[in-house]
Amino acid sequence: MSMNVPSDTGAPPEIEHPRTKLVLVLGLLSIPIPLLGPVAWWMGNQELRQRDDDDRGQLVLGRTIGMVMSILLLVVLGLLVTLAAVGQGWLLTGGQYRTLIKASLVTIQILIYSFALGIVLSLVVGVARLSDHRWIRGAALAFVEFARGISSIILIFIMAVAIPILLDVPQASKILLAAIALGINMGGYGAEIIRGAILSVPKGQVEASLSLNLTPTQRLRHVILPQAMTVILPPMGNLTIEILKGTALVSLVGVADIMQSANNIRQEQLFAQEGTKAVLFLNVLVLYFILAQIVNVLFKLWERRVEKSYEGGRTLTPDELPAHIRHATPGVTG
Amino acid sequence: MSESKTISTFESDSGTGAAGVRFHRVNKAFGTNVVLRDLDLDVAPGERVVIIGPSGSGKTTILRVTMTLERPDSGTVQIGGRHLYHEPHGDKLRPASEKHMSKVRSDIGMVFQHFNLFPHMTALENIMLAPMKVHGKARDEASDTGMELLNKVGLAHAANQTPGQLSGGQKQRVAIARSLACEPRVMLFDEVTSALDPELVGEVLNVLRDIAQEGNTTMLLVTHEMAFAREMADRLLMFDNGQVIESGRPADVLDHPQNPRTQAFLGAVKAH
Amino acid sequence: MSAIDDAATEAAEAPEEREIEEYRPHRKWYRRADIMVPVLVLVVVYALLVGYVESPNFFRTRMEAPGGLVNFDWMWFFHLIPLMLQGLLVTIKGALLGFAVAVVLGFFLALGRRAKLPFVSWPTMAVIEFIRSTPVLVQLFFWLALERAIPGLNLSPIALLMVGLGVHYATYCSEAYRAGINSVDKGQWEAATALNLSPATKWTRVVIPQAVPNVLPALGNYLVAAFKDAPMAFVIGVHGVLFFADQVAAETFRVTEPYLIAGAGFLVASLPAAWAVRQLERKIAYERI
Repeated sequence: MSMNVPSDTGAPPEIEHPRTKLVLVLGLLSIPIPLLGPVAWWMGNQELRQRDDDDRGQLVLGRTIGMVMSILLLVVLGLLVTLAAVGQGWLLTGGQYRTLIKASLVTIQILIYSFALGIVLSLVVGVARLSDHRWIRGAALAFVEFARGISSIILIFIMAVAIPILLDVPQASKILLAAIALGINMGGYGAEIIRGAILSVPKGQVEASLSLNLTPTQRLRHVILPQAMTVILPPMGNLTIEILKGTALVSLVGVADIMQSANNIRQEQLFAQEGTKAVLFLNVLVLYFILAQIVNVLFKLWERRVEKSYEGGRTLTPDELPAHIRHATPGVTG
Repeated sequence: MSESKTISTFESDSGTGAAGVRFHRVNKAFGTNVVLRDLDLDVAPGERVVIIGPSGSGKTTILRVTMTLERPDSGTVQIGGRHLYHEPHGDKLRPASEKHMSKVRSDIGMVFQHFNLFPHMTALENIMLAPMKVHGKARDEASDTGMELLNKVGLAHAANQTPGQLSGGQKQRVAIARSLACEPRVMLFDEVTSALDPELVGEVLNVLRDIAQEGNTTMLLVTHEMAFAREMADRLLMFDNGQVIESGRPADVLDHPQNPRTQAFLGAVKAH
Repeated sequence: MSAIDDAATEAAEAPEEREIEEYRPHRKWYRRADIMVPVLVLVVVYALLVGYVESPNFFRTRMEAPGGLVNFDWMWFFHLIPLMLQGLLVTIKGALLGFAVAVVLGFFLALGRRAKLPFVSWPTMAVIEFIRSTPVLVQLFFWLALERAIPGLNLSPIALLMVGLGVHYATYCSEAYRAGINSVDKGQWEAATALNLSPATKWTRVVIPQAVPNVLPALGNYLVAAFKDAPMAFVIGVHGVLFFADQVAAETFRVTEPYLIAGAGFLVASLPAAWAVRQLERKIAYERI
């Protein structure tokens, strides 16, 4: 009896999108020439609206760079107009920029620490929120309520100032303590994201992995989380940006991050015009904005990678099949 | 008592090859809706049993209880002589630990109505997952057997494609290959053709015939394809209201139904 | 007709019958007690806060702080509660004032964002994106510096906090409005056009009433978020809950109790608020936006 295996056609025809490259090039060019930013942004949007197939990653990258440059352009323009009245330039001195950029490494360091802790907490607590045991569920809920309810600035003060004295721990690394505070904060929100995402995975997937006899951990690791990723990443990107914004608070407990060095610069020019200080903080805002957009782009690329795992490859030609199969009779013998 | 004696003879079942399934006084209810009522069911090793019955009669629940997707309210289930939900403890049976259930469960494979393939993996990765993670096989070995299985279901060329790129019939064939990769001694097929377009049903049934011919697994099928049931089944069970109301050779049950409810059901099916 | 009337009177006479039919989800949101009572309570509390809460100028304690040997002293901890509450009220006031600005300003940002003219909508979007992805703390310092740079302008710290929180959360609110407006079914717009309603009628009678239930919970969440950002305003001189902790710590050289009581007090205020928002979310049939 012969099988009616439908003869699968080859790979879908490759569609050329010359504009994709153009958007990317325009986006990259807008870094030295910000005026091109709006063009890349606009074209990228047009293209993205029209289709949702391959090369989205490049489009999104080009468009995002274009967008960032447009916004910077706008900020600078606005600044020039405002400060023209006060009679001020909008740039800081090179030395001040160097200080700020050096300090931004500390900010990035804190962000990485708190992100790492936040992700671990999110996963552990998010999964614990769905546990079968009432006490584990309750403890996880209590953590989430605490982490989301407390103000991150107060938590930073408690962690960096009160806890070392209370527990007699040496106040060795304020960076670490502050990062723990931010990580707890992120964990509370992240746990809810992960819980929602796990619930969004269809029940049949769990049943299928059970029928393959995967252990609960394997189920989570190989089946549920990879699929939850598409739901997790967009809000997790926003959350990471929120945490990046939160890192500015660590300056208040004396960590030398961007904000702290900005304050140092401000104190150096104590007798300068107040307008200079506005300029200083505007530059700091721009620096944070750039950092936030870097995080944004990284998450977009990550999302792209996850999406790719759903796309799959093309069909194999007989030559590409392994030898022991190529020579066997194809299809089901009947 | 005599009951424990039957259990012990049943346990002499061999450890490899097809395994028998035995339900003993199994009850299962969802709220007030009773789906299994004191169900006794014996499936011999290597037997092919097709279960038919009106929708909502609980025939799928038999398979889901066998796969431990639903826990029965009472009664015992044995696979190849080993209790699924209980661990023998001296003379008595104790509720099984997750570890014990997982051990017994490794003898069972299930194919679902809605395929439940993992959408983020290619066809081959879907098949390789359990052999690698559960049975600890090396990647190369798992990949080789995976390709062989794919070839067996006629889909070797689709090894690198994800479920999103496959048709319903192709997905179901990959799902069958995936569950075959665990070398189950009992295979459960839950309305495997119900979600398919009519023109795709044939290719899946062909694969099922092929597995049946090799004959080293016990097969429990729930289906609405009467012609296929007649061809495949060693035994046909008519299931209604939580109980088996008629059982016998397919030709007998389909052509000369004794129970009036079977007659009504078959009449309704034929009318379509 | 009479049969129906009879049935109705019968139903009215049977007491159990009457008790069942309380929940009517199809009632308009502004006629539902479970929504309007909390809203009214909020308005009253808001008015009281704005009218009666004054920022205290100092947080002097009347009790001697325990010596340096103990890490934590419960008596001292409880003694700080009234002072902390004074600070907390100022923080709440600041958050509510700032959020009031945000609610109004956010509406205009949303309008700008929806504008058909690209040279209006794009810069609005750019501004929203810029403000949203930069820290409030830096923005507060910026507003402070700007306020000092402009001669003749003399804002109180709490007014500065209003501007800072207001502008920051206006961008969040505008996104909530946008999502709420987008959540109104397309058919509703088409029906409004088909009925030849004027733009004003379309907005006030068709779109906004349907968008509000979707927007309110999001706004509630942002209000709680704004409240959590409000304590940091002690850097620009708002005498809120962290200012209290900071000052008591500076005066007594003891840091554990003031900061912990500030955290505890904050939780006591923020957890019920978050809970109330979740209740609101559940009460209103809230479509995810």
